[in-house]
Amino acid sequence: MAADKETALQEIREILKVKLIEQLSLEDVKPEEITDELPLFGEGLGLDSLDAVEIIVLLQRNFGVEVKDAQESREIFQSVNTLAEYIYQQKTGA
Amino acid sequence: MSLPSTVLITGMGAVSAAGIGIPATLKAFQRPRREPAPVTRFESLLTFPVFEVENLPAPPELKKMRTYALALTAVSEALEQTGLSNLKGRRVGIALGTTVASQLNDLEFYNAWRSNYAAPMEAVDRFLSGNLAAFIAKELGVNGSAITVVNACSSGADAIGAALGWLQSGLCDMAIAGGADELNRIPLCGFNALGVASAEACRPFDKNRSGLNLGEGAGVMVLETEPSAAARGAESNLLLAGYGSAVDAYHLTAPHPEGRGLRRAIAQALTTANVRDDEIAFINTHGTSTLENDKVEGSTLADLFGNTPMLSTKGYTGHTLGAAGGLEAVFTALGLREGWIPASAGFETPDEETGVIPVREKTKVHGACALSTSLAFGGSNAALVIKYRK
Amino acid sequence: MNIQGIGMVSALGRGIDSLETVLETGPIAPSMIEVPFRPALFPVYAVAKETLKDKTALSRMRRADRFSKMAVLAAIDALQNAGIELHDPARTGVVLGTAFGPHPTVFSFLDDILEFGDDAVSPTLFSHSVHNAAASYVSVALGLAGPAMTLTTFTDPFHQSLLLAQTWLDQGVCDSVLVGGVEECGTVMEYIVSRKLRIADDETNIQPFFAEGGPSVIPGEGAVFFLLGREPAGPYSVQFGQIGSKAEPAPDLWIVDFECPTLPSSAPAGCWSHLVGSMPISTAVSCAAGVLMLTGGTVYAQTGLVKIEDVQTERIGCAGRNKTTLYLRRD
Repeated sequence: MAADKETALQEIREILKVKLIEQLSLEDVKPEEITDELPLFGEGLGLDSLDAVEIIVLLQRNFGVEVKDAQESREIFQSVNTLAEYIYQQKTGA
Repeated sequence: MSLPSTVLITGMGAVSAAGIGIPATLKAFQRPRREPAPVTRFESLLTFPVFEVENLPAPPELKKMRTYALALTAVSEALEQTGLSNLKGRRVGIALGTTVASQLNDLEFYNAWRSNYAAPMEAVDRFLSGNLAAFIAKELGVNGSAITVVNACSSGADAIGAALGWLQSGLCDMAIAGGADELNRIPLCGFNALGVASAEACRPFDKNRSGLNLGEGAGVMVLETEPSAAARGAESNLLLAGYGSAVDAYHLTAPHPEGRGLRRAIAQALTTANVRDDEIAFINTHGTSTLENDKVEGSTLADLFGNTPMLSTKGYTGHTLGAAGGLEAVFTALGLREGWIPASAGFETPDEETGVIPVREKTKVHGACALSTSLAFGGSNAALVIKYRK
Repeated sequence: MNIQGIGMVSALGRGIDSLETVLETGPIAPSMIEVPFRPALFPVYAVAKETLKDKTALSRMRRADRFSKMAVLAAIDALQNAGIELHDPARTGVVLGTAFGPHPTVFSFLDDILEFGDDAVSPTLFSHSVHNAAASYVSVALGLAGPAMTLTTFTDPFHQSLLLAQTWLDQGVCDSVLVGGVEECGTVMEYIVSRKLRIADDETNIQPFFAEGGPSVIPGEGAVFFLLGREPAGPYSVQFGQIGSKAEPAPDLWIVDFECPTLPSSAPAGCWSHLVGSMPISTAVSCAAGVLMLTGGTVYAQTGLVKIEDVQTERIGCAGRNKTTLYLRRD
């Protein structure tokens, strides 16, 4: 079970990195440069408030996952890891 | 460089959910009764509340050009007050702000195009038949400068500022300036995507505010140089005294945290009006009820003006985008003329972060000058100073 | 208003030198692109992708669309062309005129609505679909802090933009103003143009005016920015005459955009702006060509007209479609 989850998470993380680069026009960033723990905002990947709302659309379109309120998004949007965890939870209800 | 001439406001018109025409608007301002509701004018999945204008008188040919119908209604009201039956032979400029009406964004046309790469040209012809300012110029039969200002949410205020510049430069003797915007599916989708549309009636500057409500309308002023008014025996106690505009140069959608551009815009408006900050009787704020706008605008205004009475009229009209600066300039002038401002509808709980406590009820105002502020996408900031000469 | 610098982005590439080159050597061929609305290839003077690649200048613009990128590069080049430092960013304004704005971005946003639904559209696309995104990027890229105004008219966007800049300079609101025109091509607009205008087959068939059945054109796109100030500076020694003044003396050469309006006075007339393709802000290109001619003391040859020889130009009039006239004169 744990291994399955890890595989699923790994897959989500890979897709996420590609989609983030695509949808946020991070022209000079390569997927492997976005480490799982890299902070997405501020120092780190350097995303801003407009990217934050774009990520909501990204999750909706690519994973069918909704993020409702701003407070919630602050916790979910910390890194690729936290995003992947959230997507996994929403998809599996776990 | 000659001394800038005094510019009078010799007519005003306002159309919004608060009322069609100034008398209806003032009546609505007496007692806040706010019922924003899901949009009815077009189909959308999005059901958050908006402020629609009901029973807008619109000629059939403008059925699909609602922004033009809104603008025309406000322009007609404003012109009526000037007592002029027509503008023939006068040097008249037109400066109107808008957002929606500047784009070729007809979904019907575009959908047809997408399905077979050919589309009937009606929507295009409608679009090309004249943009907002050119349309109004044609309606009024005037041929001075005509510009449609597209500075997003400060368009209306910037259009008034541009007209002030023309008048003071002697490029025209009279100008029709303000803004107009209709409720449209495109900004409805856009503002929802930006996460700034509220599911409830907006509450500008309230601690528990959760975003804006879109609205629609038009607010227009007839501006006139003093000699031009005098030559036709017209008078007005209301003056457009100053305008300031400055960009944040910070971010496309977020305001500068310290209100960098807003401070400069206000300073410039006060300087050009030759008015001190302690002479400002009240401030009609942009106050959209979004977390960011109210935080930045509120804390900036609190810092600059302390306890000067402030209000946001968005609680009566919703955020009317390109019309907002025009409508609020008219509301500001009305406040000075009537000697009172309405309650800042929707405000209940103070927010320490903004530091602003807008007026909670209909409030008497004393003094001869007032300020109206507008902030916009793209980091544009505009401020207008209006004077009442007793 | 003194013209201190000019920046330009077009099918010719970047920089005012690119215009000077074609003025001297003659027109280049347009791109022939495939379009979904007709079998034949469609000619367009399109800005090449490479032209818009500038990592340094566009470093803070990863999300920006072509419209904004063209505007920023032309604005930066205008400043560089002037070769001066701006003393106070708060005293420099921006006026951007456009007839149609960033319509490909508007259409992309409509795609989003139609494909994903009202509640799943891109906020980034929406925020770039507003006309004033480009002026905002210009202010950020150059660190300007004065007023920025974007305005739109179909007939004379560049003329109206200059007029506003003139009031800012006259009234002391600004010490310098970047005034620009920007227009973009895209498939939908190409379709509309093909329905509304006669499209020339290639550059040898462009008939700017005097053509039976109206002019035949090849659409273009690009951005032209002028840095204007009250004092002379930069490489040109040319200024705009007072706009809207009836006192401007008659010019000794007229430049028209592509339709020939009734000219206010008689003088040889020519058209050069079609060298970068026709667009609503062609007046800005005409003015740039006029500045080069006044500075170089030459009148370049051009197609479709009798050759203009030995014209001593001190003053040039640029006539727009809406009976609006701009005058250029040597200092």
